[in-house]
Amino acid sequence: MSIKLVTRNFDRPDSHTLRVYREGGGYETLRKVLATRTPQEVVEEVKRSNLRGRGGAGFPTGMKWSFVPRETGKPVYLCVNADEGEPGTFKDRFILEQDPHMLLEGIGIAAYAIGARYAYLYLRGEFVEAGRRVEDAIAEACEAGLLGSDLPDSKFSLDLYVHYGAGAYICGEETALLESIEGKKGWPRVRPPFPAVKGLFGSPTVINNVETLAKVPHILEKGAAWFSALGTEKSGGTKLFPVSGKVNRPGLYEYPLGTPLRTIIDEGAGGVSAGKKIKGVIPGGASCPVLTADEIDVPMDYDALAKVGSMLGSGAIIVLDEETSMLKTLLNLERFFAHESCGQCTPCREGTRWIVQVLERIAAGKGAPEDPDLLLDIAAHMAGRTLCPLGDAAAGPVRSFVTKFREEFLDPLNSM
Amino acid sequence: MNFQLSEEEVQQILARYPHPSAALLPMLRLIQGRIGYIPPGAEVYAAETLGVDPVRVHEVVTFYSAFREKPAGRYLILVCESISCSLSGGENILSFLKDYLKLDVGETTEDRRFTLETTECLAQCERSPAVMINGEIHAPATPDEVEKILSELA
Ligand SMILES: Cc1cc2nc3c(=O)[nH]c(=O)nc-3n(C[C@H](O)[C@H](O)[C@H](O)COP(=O)(O)O)c2cc1C
Ligand code: SF4
Ligand code: FES
Repeated sequence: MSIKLVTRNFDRPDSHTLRVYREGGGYETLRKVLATRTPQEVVEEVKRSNLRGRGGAGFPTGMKWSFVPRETGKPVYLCVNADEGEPGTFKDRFILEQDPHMLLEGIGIAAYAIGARYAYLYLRGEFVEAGRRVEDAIAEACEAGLLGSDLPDSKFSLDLYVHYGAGAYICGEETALLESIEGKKGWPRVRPPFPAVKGLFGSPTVINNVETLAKVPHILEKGAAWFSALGTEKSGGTKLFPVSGKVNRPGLYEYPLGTPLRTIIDEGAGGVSAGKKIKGVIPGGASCPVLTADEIDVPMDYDALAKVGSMLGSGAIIVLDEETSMLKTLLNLERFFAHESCGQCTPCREGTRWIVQVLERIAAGKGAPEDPDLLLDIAAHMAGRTLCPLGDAAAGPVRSFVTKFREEFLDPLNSM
Repeated sequence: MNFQLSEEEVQQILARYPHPSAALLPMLRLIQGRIGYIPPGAEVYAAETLGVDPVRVHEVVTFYSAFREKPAGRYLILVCESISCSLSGGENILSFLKDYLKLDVGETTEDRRFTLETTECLAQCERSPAVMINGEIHAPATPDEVEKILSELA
């Protein structure tokens, strides 16, 4: 059953305003946390909640916060990742537009926990409406003394700045994002050092996704035990699932982690459109390996999806029906990766281009019998050999599409 | 074209970062917001104002697809080409626009009113296919609606 935490105010008129957010008890948790809990206690509470990052990698949030060294003499930074650009994903945009104050409250609590005096919100450049809403919300919160110097009942101060991206998907990758805030092109960094130790401007830095941070006030309000009990043993709480493609009601749905994929498609999104059958489902955004119709009873959580060879990713569910061409779909996904590869590593830069060329050749009716194996071979040479996960993200779909729907990559008369 | 920012504008963006060089993206964004593109002179201006190597400024302008080295038409039309829009007929919108404006992707009409480009996922997939005109989203878009919108633009 759907449970509304992050989406709970979305249906209220003017849900984006401070007035409406406060009517629902908003900012009370931040106030209580600042007055009664130590930063260390907040980190422990989030650890116990089993909250895992909602930006794609699923790293445990409390643990990430605990890696930040204290007393280095350098400032600690919090970076909020609002660069949402993975095809099929539109969950963070909803939070930014419909309930920016919930995000700001989460940012306040997170910054307090890690000891950050400054935070940057990296907002996708194309998010015009979201930008307006967030900037208005920041102004409202500053005016009300909820952001800025000496927050209520504490000596804690936090300044939050919006930094706009400029049309590069790779800047959603956390180290490319740091480069971009520093005023450089978005080339991912070599790790180690990890951002927790040496991140923005050489200082300890935490990067968290918008949805991750919007969950934080709920955890501190109702407790880690309550939050973790909503999800599975290892992944606490609810997840936002943006559903698109061939369904009757495309939209954003919030369910506990561990809810079967089929339930979200049928109950949430109203099933497959036009009475058609499912051919495949991409369970977590463009970089996640595709599932076949037989695999959609899988529980939507990090571990269960890894077990069937895919990933939860951003949680973006893209439904492909029996009439969808898998060749055309994979070509579309791979063109995206080829276009967005930053070009720093050869296997990613050349591999993505080469994959697109082979797929275009098959689509033009000039495919060779060995092309499916050639595609798998190129993918194998990319995976695990690149600086950042984009190389793997491009290879995963190739492997899954070509292995599971091989015949569609053979027939040159494929229905395009 | 006057792309220089006022002292106040410069101070405002500088105040957000511990190092002036970090203000490069917001500075370029302001300049482009004002004159529509980043001419070579503006790169030099940004480099000098922020104390950054001009080569690095140029690298940034070319790396980020939103920064333009040439002005677009008065209306910049972006058609989403990514997967969810493609599944809901995004190609029809693009081919309609190509015919209607007699343009190929990347071109500008002779009267400099319209530039037609494609874009990656605009995070509007629940109402795909999506089109963005000068920062405003139109979704789900149909050829008829897009025609109506364009005919009402000055
Ligand atoms: C190519 C690429 C693009 C990414 N884009 C985003 C993004 O748009 N938003 C996001 O939150 N995380 C994105 N990530 C994941 C981030 O690197 C990082 O793991 C995340 O922001 C951490 O936040 P979390 O722990 O709260 O999930 C991307 C990763 C890669 C490799
Ligand atoms: S894997 Fe691709 S996107 Fe990532 S750093 Fe290398 S070239 Fe750039
Ligand atoms: S795929 Fe077009 S808006 Fe997401």
